[in-house]
Amino acid sequence: MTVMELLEFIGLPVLLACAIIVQGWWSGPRPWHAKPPAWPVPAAIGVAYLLSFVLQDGWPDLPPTEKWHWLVPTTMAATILGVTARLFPRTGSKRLLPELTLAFIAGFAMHFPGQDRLEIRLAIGIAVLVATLAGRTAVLRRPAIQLPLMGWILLATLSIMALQASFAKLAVLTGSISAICAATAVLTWLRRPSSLGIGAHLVIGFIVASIAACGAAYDSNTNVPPLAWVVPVLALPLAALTRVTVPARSERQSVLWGMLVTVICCAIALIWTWLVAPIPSDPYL
Amino acid sequence: MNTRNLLLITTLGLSILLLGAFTADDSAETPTEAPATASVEKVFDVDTVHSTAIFRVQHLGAGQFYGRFNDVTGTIDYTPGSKSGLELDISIAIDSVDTANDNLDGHLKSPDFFNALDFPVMTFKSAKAELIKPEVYRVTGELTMHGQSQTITVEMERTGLAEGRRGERVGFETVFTIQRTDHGMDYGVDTGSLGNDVRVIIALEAIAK
Repeated sequence: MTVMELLEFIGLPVLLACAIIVQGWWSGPRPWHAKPPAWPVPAAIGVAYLLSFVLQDGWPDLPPTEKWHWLVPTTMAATILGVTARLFPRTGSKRLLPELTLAFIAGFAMHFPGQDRLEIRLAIGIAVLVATLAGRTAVLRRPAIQLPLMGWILLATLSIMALQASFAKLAVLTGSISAICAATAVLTWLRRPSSLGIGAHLVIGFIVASIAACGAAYDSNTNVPPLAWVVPVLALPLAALTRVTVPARSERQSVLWGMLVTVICCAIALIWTWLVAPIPSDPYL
Repeated sequence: MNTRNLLLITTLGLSILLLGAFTADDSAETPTEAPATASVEKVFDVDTVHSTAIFRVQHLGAGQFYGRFNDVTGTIDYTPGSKSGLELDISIAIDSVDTANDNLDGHLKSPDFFNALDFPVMTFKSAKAELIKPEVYRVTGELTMHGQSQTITVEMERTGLAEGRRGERVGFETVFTIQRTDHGMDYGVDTGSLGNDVRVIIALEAIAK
């Protein structure tokens, strides 16, 4: 992978995502002191995801001939749900309809090799449900920067794991979304008042869980222990639990605890991976 | 008869017996060329142990690296002496790719290249064959790899046909070049990190059913 390829596959999607978020947050009829609209972040991540995929592998067939291409239509479904999340009921059990819909899509529409058994599909659906619900708790808290920061760290970890599994295209795709999350964090920090709004958690949570499932399915040499793929997904609910249970002096401190748990989970996943299969001394990619 | 004459006769007799025995054994071991005029179609099963598929591709615009597939199976319908009597149905297991480097093997099996989990086998099924010179056929058929099929024409040399102790065997060999982008494998082509042209050598040995 050359620098030019990295610029093309990661730089272009990041630029596109930033353009969408800037357009959505800084222009339009809203007064400058109003909360920014919620749709730009899920829209930006979804569209940039599609661009990153198409630049690498072209448009996927429908239905996809290669099973990992199911990532694209399912992530587009997550994007649509993320963009339209505000339209769903905000109170009562119906408010969780987008998360439940995504869990169903993940469990029964994604078709990665070796994951056809019902219990595995249920596990993938539950993973998506837990990741998106945990994301919801993060997206509604201050500071708004925490969810994109978590997305950046988690997806960077998954990108390294995909590379370790000899799946460079997945590593680049995941890396590009990680970079977009980092750029979103910067834009969120710049925007005052800063707020992601509901919806971004659906896309980020879904991408984290689906990339982990895809990477585990295609790691034919088992260079990454199968359970290590689960650790970054678990980071989202563990961080949410830590924020709720560990006493903190302020909201900001509880967020820092959550971030610490995320970093620890990522470190565990990477160390576990490298203990099983050390980084090859000779580059082969 | 004195002892000297007895020894001489015994030695001579033993020599004749041993010579006869070795001669008989040689005739059993040495395969005989099967008659070329026979015109009966025979079906041969590919002998996986003695068949191989080797490929080479340019790396970083410099060297050629080689790899092979260890699991080649299939059947050859061959009519010795016929001008068109050759049909091949060959399958190669992608999981058997072997470059002497486990990490590189894993990368070749990944969706960046062959995607061994979604497309576990590549196949070649011939549609037409014609004898163009002694022992050389021009074979046209469909090569299916990475889920995408292309019609290719290759020259296939019959390397031997022999009747031995372990049955009748036939050998074929072909060398040809394909573009991997024709089969949707474009990883590294744009940047020249890995060549598009892949030279393939397929050497088959098959045993009559």
